[in-house]
Amino acid sequence: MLREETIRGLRTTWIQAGPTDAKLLTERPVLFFLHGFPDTAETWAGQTAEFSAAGFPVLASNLRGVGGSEPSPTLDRYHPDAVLLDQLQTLRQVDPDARSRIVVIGHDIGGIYAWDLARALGDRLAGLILINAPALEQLLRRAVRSPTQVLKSSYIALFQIPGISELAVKHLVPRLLKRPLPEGAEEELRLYRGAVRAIPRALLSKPTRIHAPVLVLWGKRDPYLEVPTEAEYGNLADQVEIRVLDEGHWMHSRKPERVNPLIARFVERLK
Amino acid sequence: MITLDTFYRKLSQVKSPSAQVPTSSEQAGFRRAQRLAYQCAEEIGRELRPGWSEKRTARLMDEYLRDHGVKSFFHRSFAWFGDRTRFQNFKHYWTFMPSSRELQETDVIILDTAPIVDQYAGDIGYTFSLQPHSGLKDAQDLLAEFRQVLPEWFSSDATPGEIWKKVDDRIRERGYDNCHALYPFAVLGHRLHRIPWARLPGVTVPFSLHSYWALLKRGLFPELLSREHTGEKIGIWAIEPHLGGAGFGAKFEEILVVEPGRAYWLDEEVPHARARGTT
Repeated sequence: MLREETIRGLRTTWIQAGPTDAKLLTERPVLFFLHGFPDTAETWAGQTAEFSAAGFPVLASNLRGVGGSEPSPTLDRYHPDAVLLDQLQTLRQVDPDARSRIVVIGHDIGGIYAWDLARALGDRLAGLILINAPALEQLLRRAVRSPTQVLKSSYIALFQIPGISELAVKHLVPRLLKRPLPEGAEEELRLYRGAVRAIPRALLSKPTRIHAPVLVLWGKRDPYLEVPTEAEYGNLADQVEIRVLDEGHWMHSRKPERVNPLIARFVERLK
Repeated sequence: MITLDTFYRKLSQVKSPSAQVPTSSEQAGFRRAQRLAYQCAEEIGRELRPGWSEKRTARLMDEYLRDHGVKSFFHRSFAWFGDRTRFQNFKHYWTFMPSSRELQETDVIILDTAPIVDQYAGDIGYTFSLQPHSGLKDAQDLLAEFRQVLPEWFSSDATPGEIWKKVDDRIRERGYDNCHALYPFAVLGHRLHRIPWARLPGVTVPFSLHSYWALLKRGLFPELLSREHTGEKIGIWAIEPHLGGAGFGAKFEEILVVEPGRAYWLDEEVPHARARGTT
């Protein structure tokens, strides 16, 4: 079901499935999915269907500008802090008393927001799953240490240029990805511009360490992101499990049958 | 011999353009700003979890306010946790700024923010804790007393400085420390203004250029409710009694309207009044 609420003045949508009764929200963790570029919450169709049928409360957020979430005229609403508030307030709509525990799952740029949300949830966080999704701190470190990653991520620099990047998204990206893009995909460029504004703080401050279990799923045939090492998570989380699959960047949507059992096993172990 | 106190007293008597009864539309403007500020503090306060830093909290408060159309601030948001709520060991101006201190389960929390909304400044202070706190309830009882008596004191002939002393005496009689005496100029409160330049973002560190200018061009001392103030009471004040207990502090801050012979809180829909059922 697509839900819609006005959050801080802007229409915000998310997919919600599975049990929503207040009592049931506390029996199993809520699985909260955060998509990347150029996607919407629909990218998680393979996960929302399966896990809601298995009895999990499931939320899949539509980031600002896509999937019915109203775009903002100001870039401020694309800053990671604003995205974090959107997710916290979405959760508040579903669980007003904040009783549920949450497993946060992020893909691509959704991983940046997943790390932020995981840190903000504190003891409500049951676990964090990243699917081909680095933390901002990880990317910044790679920018210094890995020329290959710099090259692979060079599109982020293009995305900072208004006009040209919108043209690229409209005409070039669908051809490169061999699929049509969702309506509003150009709006998602502003997420990259917002994320860049968070770089100074990410460089200057120590990241909050995640104490809950973290699962990193990585399709090694990802043309945009290098496979991570355990060392990269040293200051980010206490316990990280990395599983590398012989798949591509969008393995969660293209091969859910490979990804879902790993998610299910991780969530099962959280009990 | 003219002492500094005498000098301040003289300066506080300078007639300020702020010393006038606000019109009903001005009151409505200040009320809107105050309500948004409290809404922000309550909503962000609801999301607070152990592990949040003061910096993150203050940042998200500012973000929340900007998302509600705030383009400028009288001062940016503050968040203080634990013993920082009583300004323990605060020696320098910059120590007041939100720090990397992380929230603990048993901490008292103070959120303080001052957005400018459609040229009207609000300035609020909100104290709470995630878990029941043994000392906080008693401190909030005393703050509730102040909320009741302050309009009476402002309606009387007492000077602002005398009111400052009454508050200070009662705080100490009850075994607390006076933490608002640690604020710049040791103010119990300050005037609030319409700030016409608010459409400009200003530089806010943490008080905006607008607020410094607004205070300075009105003579500064008539605008600050210090122990030396012997000037006019009429007008709009942000009143902020702040007590220090063992390892924590507690305050409220809200707008008091003072007219000749009468004073009243601008709005009864404030969380600390609502919580006590006194709205």
